[in-house]
Amino acid sequence: MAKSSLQKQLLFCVFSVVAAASNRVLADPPGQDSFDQHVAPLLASRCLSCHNAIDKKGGLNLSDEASARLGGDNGTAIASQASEASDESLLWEKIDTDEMPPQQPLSGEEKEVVRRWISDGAQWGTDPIDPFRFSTAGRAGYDWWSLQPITQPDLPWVDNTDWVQNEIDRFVLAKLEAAKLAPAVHADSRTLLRRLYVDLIGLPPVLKTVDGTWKEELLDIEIEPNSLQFYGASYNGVVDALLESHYYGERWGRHWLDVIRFGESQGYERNRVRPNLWRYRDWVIESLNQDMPYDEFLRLQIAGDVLKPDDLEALIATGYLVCGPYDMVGYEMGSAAMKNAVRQDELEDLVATLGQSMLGLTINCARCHDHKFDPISQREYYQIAALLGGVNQAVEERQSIALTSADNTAFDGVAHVIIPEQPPAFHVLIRGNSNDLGDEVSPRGLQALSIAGLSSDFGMDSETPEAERRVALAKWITDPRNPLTARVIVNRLWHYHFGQGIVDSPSDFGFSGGRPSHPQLLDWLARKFIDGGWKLKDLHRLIVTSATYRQASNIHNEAAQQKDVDNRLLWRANSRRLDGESTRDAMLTVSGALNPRLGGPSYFDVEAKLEYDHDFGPPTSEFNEAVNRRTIYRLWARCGNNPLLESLDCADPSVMLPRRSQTITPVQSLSLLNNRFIEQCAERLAERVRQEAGGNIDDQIGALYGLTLLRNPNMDELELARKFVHSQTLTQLCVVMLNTNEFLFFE
Amino acid sequence: MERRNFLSHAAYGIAGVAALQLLQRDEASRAGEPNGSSHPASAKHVIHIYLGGGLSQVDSFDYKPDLERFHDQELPAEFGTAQPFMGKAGRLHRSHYAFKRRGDSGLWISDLFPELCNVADELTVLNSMVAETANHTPGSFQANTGFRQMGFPAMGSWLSYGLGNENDNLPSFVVLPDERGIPNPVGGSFSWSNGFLPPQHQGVPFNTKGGPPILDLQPASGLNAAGQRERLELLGQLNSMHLKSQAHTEALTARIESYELAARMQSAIPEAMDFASEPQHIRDLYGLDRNECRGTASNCLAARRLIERGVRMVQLWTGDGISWDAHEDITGKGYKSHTGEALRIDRPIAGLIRDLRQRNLLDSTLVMITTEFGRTPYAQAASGKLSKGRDHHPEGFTNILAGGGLKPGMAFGATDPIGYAAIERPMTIHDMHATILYLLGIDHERLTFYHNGIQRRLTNVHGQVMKELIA
Repeated sequence: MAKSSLQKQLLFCVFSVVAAASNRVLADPPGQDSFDQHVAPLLASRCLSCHNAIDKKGGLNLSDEASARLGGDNGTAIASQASEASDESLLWEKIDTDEMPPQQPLSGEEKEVVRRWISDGAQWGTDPIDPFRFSTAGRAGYDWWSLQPITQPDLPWVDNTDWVQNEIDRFVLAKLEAAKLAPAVHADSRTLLRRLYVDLIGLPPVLKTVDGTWKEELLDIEIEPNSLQFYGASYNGVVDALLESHYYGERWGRHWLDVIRFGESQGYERNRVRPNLWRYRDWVIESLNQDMPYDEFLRLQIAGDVLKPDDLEALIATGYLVCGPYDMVGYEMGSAAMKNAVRQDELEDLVATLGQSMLGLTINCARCHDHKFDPISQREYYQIAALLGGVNQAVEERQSIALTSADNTAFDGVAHVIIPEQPPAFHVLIRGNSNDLGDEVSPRGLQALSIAGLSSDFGMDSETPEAERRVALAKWITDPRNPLTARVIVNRLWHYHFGQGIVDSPSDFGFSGGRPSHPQLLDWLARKFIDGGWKLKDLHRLIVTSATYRQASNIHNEAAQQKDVDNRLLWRANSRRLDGESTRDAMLTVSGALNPRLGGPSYFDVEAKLEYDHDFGPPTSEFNEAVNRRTIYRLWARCGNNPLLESLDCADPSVMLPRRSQTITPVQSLSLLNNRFIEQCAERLAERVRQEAGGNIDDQIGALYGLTLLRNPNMDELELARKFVHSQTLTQLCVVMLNTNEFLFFE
Repeated sequence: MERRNFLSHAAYGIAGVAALQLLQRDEASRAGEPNGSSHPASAKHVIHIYLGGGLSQVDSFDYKPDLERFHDQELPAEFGTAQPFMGKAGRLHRSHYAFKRRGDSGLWISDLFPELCNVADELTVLNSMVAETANHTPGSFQANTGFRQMGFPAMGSWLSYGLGNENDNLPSFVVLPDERGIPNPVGGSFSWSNGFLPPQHQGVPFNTKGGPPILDLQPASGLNAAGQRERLELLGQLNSMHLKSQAHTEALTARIESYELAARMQSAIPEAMDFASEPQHIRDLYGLDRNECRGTASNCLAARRLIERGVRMVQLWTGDGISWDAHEDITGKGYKSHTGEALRIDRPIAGLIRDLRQRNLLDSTLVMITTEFGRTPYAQAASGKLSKGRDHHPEGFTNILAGGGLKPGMAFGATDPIGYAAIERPMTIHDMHATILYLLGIDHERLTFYHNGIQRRLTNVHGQVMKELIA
């Protein structure tokens, strides 16, 4: 599946690269530049995977000039400069007869590049060839789009300026107009209200009318229901109230926990619960609620203990580094070789999480060999691992840090945070084999991020204290010249707001990931984000007050459907099913059972046996104040999944999940109809409806519709509901309402 | 790019949509690209019986007469250095059970499995398995997902994703835990996790301890059938009225259908798990009425009934995931002994193989009897001592397959003369997975799913189809 599209894309790339190459080859005089531009990328992408310094197939190494001129087992491959014609070159002969490369011979244009190079004297350029310098049809190089400096694009010109509310709209509309498509009309007030609530705080609004004015209960604000479809104070007021509410951090904190595979138990055999890791979860929520600048948010998670040594909150932030899977048995038993392998697996997981969550790069793919698709060498993988080498969960799992605040107030308890250790020297491990040591490496950043002047050389060696390493890493990642950090987070926000990112692979901005649908918009947003002090709430505000965001989803547009069925150009909003947490939280909210308490230790919703090994069983089905909290506060233990939430696509704590599935399965439907939790919410909801509407069935049905769907029932619906309540119960009607598509989707 | 993850893009695909079907449809429209299924399948279904904890190869299927000779001696250096997991390498210990040639094929099987001996001619024994770890949980993850680490899809999830289901009223991947509970010591539900594949491919664990077969099959409130029908009807009406006002209906329609499927599942699952229609001779064949093996017998019979009804893969757990972990006494009768565990499974598995054969299902059903690693040929005891226990051992061990288009009655590969290391045709988990996918008509290099930067496969970047095994 994937392959076919990739192929299609590859064909396209090959065509464009070669076309460009051959045009220029004809114009350029032979020389170093020509070699670097045209010949080296070809050798790198088509020959060096076998004929490199290590593998040297047939004794031939084409990666540096001296070796290439030396030739291989069959003799000289390339004649020395300008002495012999191409028809006497062994290299050319093998290529010309399609003997090499063996899998897929070179195309005519590619052959022409080689032929001309050899006949012009085979002049070499940069030595050795840097295989990462240019992107090819099969992989990204240093010139890959996401590695280029963030630009400051001009606002595009558009026709329909009346539609435009802010800069975002100009970028979106320009693309739509170019495709001769029109944006959708505004969504109505009710749709917008529900969209804003679910999107920004993960809870549906609860509207009540009191003496003729409408009040929303959760935020305790007055809302004029029909005013939201207009731009202005009323809409902006709701947005501000939502962003100021503590529910915001609970909603968006969960997104971050998805991305970093946050887990409150070790996993593997012992799987011990980390009873204090909730402090990190609370730190995430609180930081988002305080609108901590995103660069600071990242820095503290990597090195809060070093950057702010007297700040307990900054220490707690390092929970980021120690919330991954940890194989306690592997660390404590077995041979030295096996322990070493377990340690390397742990480091890979850590590098994977850091690279993907903060940089959108799969650095971990370079553990056993150079990255197959992105310009990251195997050596660089170990250099990054050396930066994180002070993190060793074996230490954290043995002890937690006791917390006492400097002034002995508010704070005491224990936290699951980093307890750093000075690491040993790091080596390249040949083919990733933890017992096969290659060259020693220094802690260092990635060359690929250096285009805008950000140095990857931190002047470190294997003696550098580990604290300095993490500080350097934190600064490197959050340097405004880093091309990825801002792009990645801006895109994440966009992804959650629209259901689809500008780049549709939010944790992979490399060759295997998606390409931006609106590259200029992405850069404009990233630039504005950095210039504005890395403030997430400003970005949310900008997005949700755009005309783009306020479009209706329920729109027929044949032309758009034909041209852009995936809605990449945003000619409408995307309707989406509530995610697992929002489904449960919404049911608790409308039934009035939600305990809105902020933060604190996690609640258990499955049976747990916490002995030598920690085991988890079936759901407890408790329904009380202690567990009726927002779903983010459950104990997210590995293998301690709640089947209802699992069926609704909640994140597994062992999998980094930058984008959730939205599956629909019969098992899910069975749970939504029959699960004890749903029944209990329905009972509470029925109670509430009786209380608020009194004994009249029609009034009760009306109140139920108001609470769940923010509208009155129409005559048909009223009739059906009435009939149902007569033969069944109000509680069962509530179960049905909680199962309707209209309740479970937001447009 | 849009098709990279077509199943999560086609996010609203309901269970039963098969990746390969879509793939074929998708790729048929593109010139020159062969289908992901590159050859006809011999097997359609898989029954996987997992012996967690580590089955001792030299006490079961890997006959080593030289161990008699070396009994009570130190491991000779020519066979390598002992790498005990628990830190104790005692002297070599001969098999705890007598070996004989069995059946017409003459396969060597020990007295540990007297009933399996009677179906020797149906078995394909892999004597040269190697694993990457001597640690239960990563080993078990690897045996089930191909990877030591957490977070990867189980083979059953891959099969569900690749082949879909033949019966939408049942899950495509069913897990039958041992009556003693779910295998928490080796990662519990993670052993049948969908990992990063969409959740409809997750293994659905059935309750095998009595009571409703799956969670939430019936309303918690006990609402009667008439009430449930009325509820479904109202829900259908409300959803249909809502649907009429909608421009984009794919997901909404899928949800409406999923409730209909759910209602059918409510009767299909209990029907599949109800043995009332099974005659006494079938009950006897599996040992369903025998105290020592009732639990496994029930799961084996259920497995046959489920695959008969179109379930793609059924995975049976024997024990709690580590009950074959005989550190102390292979021959004991209790927990973590081989004699005791074998009693629970020997007759039911032999019965299952015979039953599949007599129903003409064995050729299209692959039966796998696997473990995460083997056990040391030396005793787990202080240096220079003997004991009846053996330690974890990944360098050479045995898995057993049957049916599904394999050559029957053969042993493949070999360990050295003391059963320590695989020396002839060493076979990794990836090789075994590649071969199994091949039997199911899947090219293991082409069943892929994009996740966080990589087109992931069950076989990582490894795996070789062992064609000599295929009939």
